[in-house]
Amino acid sequence: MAARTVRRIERSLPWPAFALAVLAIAFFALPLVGLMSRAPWSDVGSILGSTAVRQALKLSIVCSLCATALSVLLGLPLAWLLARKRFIGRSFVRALCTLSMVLPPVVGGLALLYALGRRGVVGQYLDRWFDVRLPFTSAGVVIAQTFVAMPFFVVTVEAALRQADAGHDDAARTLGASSWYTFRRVTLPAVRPALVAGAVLSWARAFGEFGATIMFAGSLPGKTQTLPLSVYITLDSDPQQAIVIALLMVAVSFGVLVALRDRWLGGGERAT
Amino acid sequence: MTLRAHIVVARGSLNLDVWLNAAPGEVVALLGPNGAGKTTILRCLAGLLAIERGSIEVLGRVVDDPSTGTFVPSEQRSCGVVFQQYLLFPHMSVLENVAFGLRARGADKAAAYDQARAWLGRVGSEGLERSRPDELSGGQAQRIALARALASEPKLLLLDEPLAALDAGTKVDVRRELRRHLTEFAGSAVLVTHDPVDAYTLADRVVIVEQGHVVQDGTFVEIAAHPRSAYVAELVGVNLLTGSMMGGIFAVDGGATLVVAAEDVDGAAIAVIRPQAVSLHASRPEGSMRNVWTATVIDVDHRADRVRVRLQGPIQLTAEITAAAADALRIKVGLQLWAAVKATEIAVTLN
Repeated sequence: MAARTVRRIERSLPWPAFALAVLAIAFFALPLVGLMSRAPWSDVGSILGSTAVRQALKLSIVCSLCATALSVLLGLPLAWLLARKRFIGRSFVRALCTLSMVLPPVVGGLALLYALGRRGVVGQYLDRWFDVRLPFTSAGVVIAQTFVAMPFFVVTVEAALRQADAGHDDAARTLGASSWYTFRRVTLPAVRPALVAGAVLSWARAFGEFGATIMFAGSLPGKTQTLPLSVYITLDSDPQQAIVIALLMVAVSFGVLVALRDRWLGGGERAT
Repeated sequence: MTLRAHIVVARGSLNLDVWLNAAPGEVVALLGPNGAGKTTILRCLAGLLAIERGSIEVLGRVVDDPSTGTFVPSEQRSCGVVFQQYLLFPHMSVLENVAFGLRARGADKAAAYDQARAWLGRVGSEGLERSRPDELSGGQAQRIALARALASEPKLLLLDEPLAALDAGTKVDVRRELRRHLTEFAGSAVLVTHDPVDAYTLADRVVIVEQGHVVQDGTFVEIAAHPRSAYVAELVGVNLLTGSMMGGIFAVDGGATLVVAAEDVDGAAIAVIRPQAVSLHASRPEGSMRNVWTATVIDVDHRADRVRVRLQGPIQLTAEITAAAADALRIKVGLQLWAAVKATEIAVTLN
């Protein structure tokens, strides 16, 4: 077969807009270049192999995955409630549940401390009745991360649920499907791309979480000191290590975003 | 009665208050303009909308009655619905769509798929099992939607503008098939449409709904003969003649023939003639008109400045003329006169 020539009509961008766009790209690329220029490349292997870094990496991965799982478990019913049910005070509830997206994380951590801390509104009973103490534990890290990460999942999935045709749910009901069966077989598959996108976004937010974690869970190596915390803590004592950890975080986050973006975040084919 | 309903519900500016019955095997068409409340009636019957007053009874079982607090949810009503936009599940194959109702009610996968395949065969859609809904043409999607609704063996079948989204060519085939399935269907069916031809060809009885109220109820022929308002006359007061087309000649069932401007259609057809297009004459009209016959006036219906005249003869139809013309012709029951229709005034649609 003869090769087909594909003619493309490029829409030209006015050059000032083009220049600004390039500037924006540089703005994001330069800090990475800065980090890399200071990296102790010959020692990267030994630093990454050190117990402290390995501990922090493992803790970060486990906690952020737990936070993502919790965000999906609680966030999915919440998104469905906000998208499909009409009730008084819905916009108030929506604002409340997405507040932590715009709240400084440190404030969130402080608030968590007064809610779930040993002398907090609920925390004192957790302590007294169940002997459960959340602050300054790995579970506390998960709580802090979930607090800031879940809204990303909720907002993404709620928007998709609103957009999805509720008529399909109606059709399922008339065919004899219970509301649970309808939710599982019709509603969820319709918003699957958003589920994945929301989970990835909230994972990325949890993985990079710093402020709420340090307030609520402190920075105990091996227990609550995740990668972002260890960057901050070691910057004074061992800047080389801080830079390596920072680059590690960049690599992991970047890798996940690139791997998933084309499939789920609207980069390539888009489910309509 | 399969269906006995009194539906009272308010939706926005619409205040719906209708009585609706359907006997076993009966197909009832709800005919009316957009916004009359036809779709709202279907949603109430299907249990997708609760009524505010009245009651809905299907096969003697009350499914909605606010006065006793009864409300049977949609999934327990056995109402099959064919939605206007079909609403096939986009992430499932055609086979999974048709099997959905059976699976949802707990049938095992193999049995549900076998039954779904049988239904696909019945609607003439073999070979589409693995297709996705977005790969289907309008006619195919309509057939699949019908198969999906019928596969769960509903007692009541509700069809919302089942042919509205189809192009003219497909519509004829799908309407013919739909009529066959409706005839075979043992339960009652309620069909929403704004096309008098659909109501005429598919339904046993027509219920005219206007602004949330039933304005007339009866067979199509009865309503067309005695439209109770100018609006109904406009909507269903057209002359529909069944017959067949052959080489530009429409043979009316019963023997008479009409010359028709459409020459490229052959087969079973319906001729649509507006009453205004029928002219009446005291003596045989001169000129080029080829569709001329003698007729006897059997009914005269005066409405404002117009007069509707029912005619008996080789072709039975209704003519609408001005009051002045009626006076000039001294129109009265029993009068013999000449009727004429121009070939270009006869629209033919294949049946």
